[in-house]
Amino acid sequence: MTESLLALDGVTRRFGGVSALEDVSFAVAPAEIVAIIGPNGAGKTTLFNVVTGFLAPSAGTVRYRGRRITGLAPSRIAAAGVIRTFQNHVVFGEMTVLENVMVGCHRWTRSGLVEGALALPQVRREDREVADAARAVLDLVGLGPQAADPARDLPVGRQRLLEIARALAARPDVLLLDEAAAGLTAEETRHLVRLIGRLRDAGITFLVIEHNMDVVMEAADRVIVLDYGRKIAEGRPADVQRDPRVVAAYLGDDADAADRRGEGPRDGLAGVSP
Amino acid sequence: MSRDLAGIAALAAALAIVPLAGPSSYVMALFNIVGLYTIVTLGLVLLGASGQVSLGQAAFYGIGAYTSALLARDLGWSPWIAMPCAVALVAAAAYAVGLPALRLADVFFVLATLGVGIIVNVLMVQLDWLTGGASGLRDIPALSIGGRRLATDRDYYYVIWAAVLASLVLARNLAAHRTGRALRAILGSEVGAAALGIDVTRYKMRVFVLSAAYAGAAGALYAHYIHFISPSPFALYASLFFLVMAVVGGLTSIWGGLFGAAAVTVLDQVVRAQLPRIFPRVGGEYQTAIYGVVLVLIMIFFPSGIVRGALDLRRLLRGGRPSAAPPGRPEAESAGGARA
Amino acid sequence: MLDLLPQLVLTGLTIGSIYALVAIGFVIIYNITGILNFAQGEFPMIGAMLCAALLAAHVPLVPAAAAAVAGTCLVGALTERLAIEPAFGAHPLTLIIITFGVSMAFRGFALMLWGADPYSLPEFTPGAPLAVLTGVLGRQAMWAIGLSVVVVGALFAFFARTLPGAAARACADNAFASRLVGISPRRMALFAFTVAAGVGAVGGIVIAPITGATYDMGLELGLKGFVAAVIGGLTNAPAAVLGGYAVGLIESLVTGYLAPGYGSAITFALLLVVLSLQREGLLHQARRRQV
Repeated sequence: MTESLLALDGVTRRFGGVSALEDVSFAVAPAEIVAIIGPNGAGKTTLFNVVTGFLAPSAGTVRYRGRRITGLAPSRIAAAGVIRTFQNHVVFGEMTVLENVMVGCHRWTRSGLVEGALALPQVRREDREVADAARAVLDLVGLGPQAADPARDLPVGRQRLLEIARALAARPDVLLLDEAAAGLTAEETRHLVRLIGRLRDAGITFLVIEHNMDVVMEAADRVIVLDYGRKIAEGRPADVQRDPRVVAAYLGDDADAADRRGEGPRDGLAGVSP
Repeated sequence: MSRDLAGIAALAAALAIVPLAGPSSYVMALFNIVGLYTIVTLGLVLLGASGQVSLGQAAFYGIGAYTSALLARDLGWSPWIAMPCAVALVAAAAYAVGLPALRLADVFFVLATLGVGIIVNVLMVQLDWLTGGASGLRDIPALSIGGRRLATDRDYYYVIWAAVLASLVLARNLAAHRTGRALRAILGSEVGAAALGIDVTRYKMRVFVLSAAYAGAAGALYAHYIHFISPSPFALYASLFFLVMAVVGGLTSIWGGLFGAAAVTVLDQVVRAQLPRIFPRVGGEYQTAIYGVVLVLIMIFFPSGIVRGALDLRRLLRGGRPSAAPPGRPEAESAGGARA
Repeated sequence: MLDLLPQLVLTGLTIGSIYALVAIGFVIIYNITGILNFAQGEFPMIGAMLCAALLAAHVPLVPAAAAAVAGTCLVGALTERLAIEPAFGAHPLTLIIITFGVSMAFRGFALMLWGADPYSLPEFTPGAPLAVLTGVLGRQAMWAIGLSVVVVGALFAFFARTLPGAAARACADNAFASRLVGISPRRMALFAFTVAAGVGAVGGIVIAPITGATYDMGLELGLKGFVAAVIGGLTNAPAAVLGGYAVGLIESLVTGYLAPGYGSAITFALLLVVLSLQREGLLHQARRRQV
């Protein structure tokens, strides 16, 4: 357990009477690429929300580098190096593409209100550093030419790339990608897979939620399958693909299973609206 | 961004020339009031950059005024010491208000500031042993520079507009660097900002305290300029007035703050002068009708303010697209999707 | 000391009944449209002023009051069409600023139309007041409390038992689903504003003989009615009504026992306390009802 970068132990999240997550445990080793898959409503995004502090678990703990992060505010968890992207992209529409990525650099920069207001030399130096780093990341993901465009104007697929770029700019230790390949063309998907591979080689650990099986098969070292909030399988992609329980979860084998697929929140935050 | 600094330099040059043209005392006074209101409005603009709106700005304006006035008049402190102390007190008050208030959702935060504004104003009237009650405080000491007492509107013009320029520079600097980016990120998506390590509540607090400090500084200057203060300029009406200025200028633009303050103040003067001719029967604050309509129209058609609205219009007419959508229309905020 | 209490309570209940009506207007609009309507307090003002103007033109009480309520409903409908509808889908903050603008506009126009002097309205049924313990309950006060109870009861019955009422409740519950069954949120918004305006107008007309009618009475009424609604959680109509009476009582007691000027301050301090008891957090946002 202490070897792993990220460790989940008995993570449970209930909304009222419904379990979005039930006793999920697994660990992610450094520089591993772990994919989380499962049918719609299985609790994948809920899992991300719990790991990154946007939701408190009903039970269980999450450890990062051996230290408990359950209960910490999302910004603290992110500042520690656990960065995530969102399914409903949250690009900062008002800002340019470049500025969006520059915001990503926030966690490893330091200048505060006073230094900023006085525009001290170190602040301007920092800004140049940040702008350079941001441009480098944009080139890496292929958004370089759009740097000056308003983020809002990007087509949806490129907005996802922007989010990934922004997350990368934060120099994460662990990167949680929530359906990063959704909305990408085949070419873009291949590019993404290559990118993930290169980043992993550079030492970044990945936890990805994916529906795109090509990405999962090609990129993932290990796959974890969730269904109805429970972990039903874990292993290498090829093994998991053949696991009959996984097949059943995705296809549904009989009427009873269909019945059991009842109501209840399928989404991470459905129970949290006021 | 250095375009802004060049603009500020140009503004400084233009301002330096104005008194040389020998304008009347009325015009100088108008400039001074516009200057003070600009500082207050800049505070609102800074707050607006993070997506917050305060309806209690007049309260901080007033606390600044009363504090500096009392320290200078009753304790005999030099105004140059009283003013910064007043700003510090306002900042502390804003911090105290912000601690509970900033946890609230945007909408309720506005109402909390509204409540604070009203309570402070009531206290200004009720604590008459301290504040002089409804009759206010008189004989507030004037500012002196190098032994010479500032007496005319023209004297104060230089001091006030120096303060305005400093406020503009500070605000512009903030906006251009890390803090400004973090604030705009919060405006864009609080969830997205938090996911990148930005401590949203702490930033909101910082900018709220800063915006209050701006108002407090303006209030302190106001007290030493007019030599007399009473609770009425610090009532809810004033907060709404400042809001109109900020909205006209666009809640997020620094230049908008200047433009909004100037435009609304001048409009107010014109309206006060002209309206009695059309409605002779009436005395009182009927121009609220106009401001109300203006506010509604702007929020419907130009939520980013008149300046941005005009630019957008021009761009549209040329066949282009409007610039990024107005503030106050953020992306969908949910951190989860429709599917898990 | 204690013999002041009954009078203060009666006064508090009287003014509280108006706050309750304003609060219900808030809740109706908020539930159906998700908007916090800060012009709500102006509806009592408009109703009272219209009624006063008609009475001054020698229109008898009942037609004058009815016409005033109808006129205010029309104003409410126009407000929704002209100021709210064009901004449908905007951020809640934008809408709040818009409603503030509307309230400012109403105040200004009222000032222009009717001047700054207070209008006095005659009591509905002149007569001797009722003695209650050591206090006195005026006839008009009885009308105020009584009418507010009747109006509140009628509203509850309407929402609970009629088809349009059910449609409104459906819309409040789930705007998206209501649309699927043919309920138009925009028409419901119009309906909400019209009803809230009418309810407010009734309150204004019935309280005006006691407090007088001035162009700026709406600001405080609106803010206090809002406090009452918030106490009730903004979505709970019965609680808002109780909140209205509570605000009235607290204000009366504070004014009577502490100092006259502190009534407003205490009410808003109460608001702040209630607000700070709201749930907090990054993910808790006011639910947006506009579809």
